[in-house]
Amino acid sequence: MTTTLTDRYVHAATRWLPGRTRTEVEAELRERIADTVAARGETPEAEREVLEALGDPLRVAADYTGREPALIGPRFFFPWLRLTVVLLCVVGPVVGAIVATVAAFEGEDIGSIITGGLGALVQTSMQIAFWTTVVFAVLDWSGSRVPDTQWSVDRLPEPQQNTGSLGELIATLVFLPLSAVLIVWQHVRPPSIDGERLPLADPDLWSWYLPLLLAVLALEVGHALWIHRAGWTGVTATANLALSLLFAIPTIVLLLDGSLVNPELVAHLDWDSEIVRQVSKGSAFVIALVSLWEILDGYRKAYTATRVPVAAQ
Amino acid sequence: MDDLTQQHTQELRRGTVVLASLLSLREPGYGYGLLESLAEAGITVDGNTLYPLLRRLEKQGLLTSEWNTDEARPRKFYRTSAEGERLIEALLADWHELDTALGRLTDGGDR
Repeated sequence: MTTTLTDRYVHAATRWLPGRTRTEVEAELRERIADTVAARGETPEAEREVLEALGDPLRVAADYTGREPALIGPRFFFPWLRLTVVLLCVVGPVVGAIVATVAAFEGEDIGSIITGGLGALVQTSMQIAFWTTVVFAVLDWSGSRVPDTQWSVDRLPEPQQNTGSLGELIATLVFLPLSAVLIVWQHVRPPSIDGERLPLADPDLWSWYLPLLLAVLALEVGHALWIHRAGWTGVTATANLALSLLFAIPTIVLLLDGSLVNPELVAHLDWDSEIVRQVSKGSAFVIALVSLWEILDGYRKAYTATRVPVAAQ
Repeated sequence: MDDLTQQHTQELRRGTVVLASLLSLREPGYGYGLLESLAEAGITVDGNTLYPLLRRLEKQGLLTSEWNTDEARPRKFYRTSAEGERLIEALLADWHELDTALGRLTDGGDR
């Protein structure tokens, strides 16, 4: 399977466009590139030259759709777009996950854990979008200069495996160590509740489950780096399956068994054991669902990545 | 031609590309073909200008389009619509008016 430079160029130019416009612009760009290349003798060098002459694909897309960025001038628009997307992919989900985790430990019911997490995600995303825009708008109005980054064909993204994968990689590399720190932190320095510091997870679990969890997190980091290098393939998707099961099975068993939360903490807080059981069951269900989705998503990505793309005619 | 002259010439010609394209596309044509026939007619236009322009004119209903898939390479053929014809008329009238006006200015009103 090979993707031509043209494939990558067209992908880079059209990936931000909405549905129908995207297909239209894609077809028109392909025709234009093919005709121009043909006029120059149809060599690989010609293809490269033609694409270089076309310039930054995002600029081309803006010309086609005729939507000139207004609040942020054209000079800053694309840096702004790229940064905002990366931040939204990384920070929003992390904050959402943290809020949901905290809510789970506070023993809230499953509904408010989910709405709380989603609410935090939406709020953070809005804040991010707002503040990045403000910063860029001020930069733009005050006449600062962006370092002139020369666009070149070599900067084209690979269409299949890299769609959003840098954002995903960064998110993973932030989120996983953070989770590991939280696991250790809740044991070493748990928050003080009514004057007593009690770990959230049952300390007995250090005999096997918590170390296993840390090991899985470390393996997940390795896996994320592997995916970034090798892309999604049958092998990496299967490794993903193994890792997901390694995490999900013991976690779900412990949750259903009710032996994940520190019993001393439950006693200290005088929690209703029925509620703890409900929350644990709910969490087990969510984990099962998320793991299943992750596993299937891995295979789906592997499938699309290895499929031959629609080649330029 | 020095830079300044070139810049102003370009500005002067910008609007004429629309008119030239509409005139040329009375006979159906595709992007690259139009680029070449315009160049032949003495109107040089950059692909970065022409292709998005065709798209815009189509959106405005001045051109109609159709994909031709008979050849090895699918191509989008444009043709000037009835509305495009009306615009041609208006633009040409304006063009001649401008020409007369400029003539008056250059010849000090002798024309």
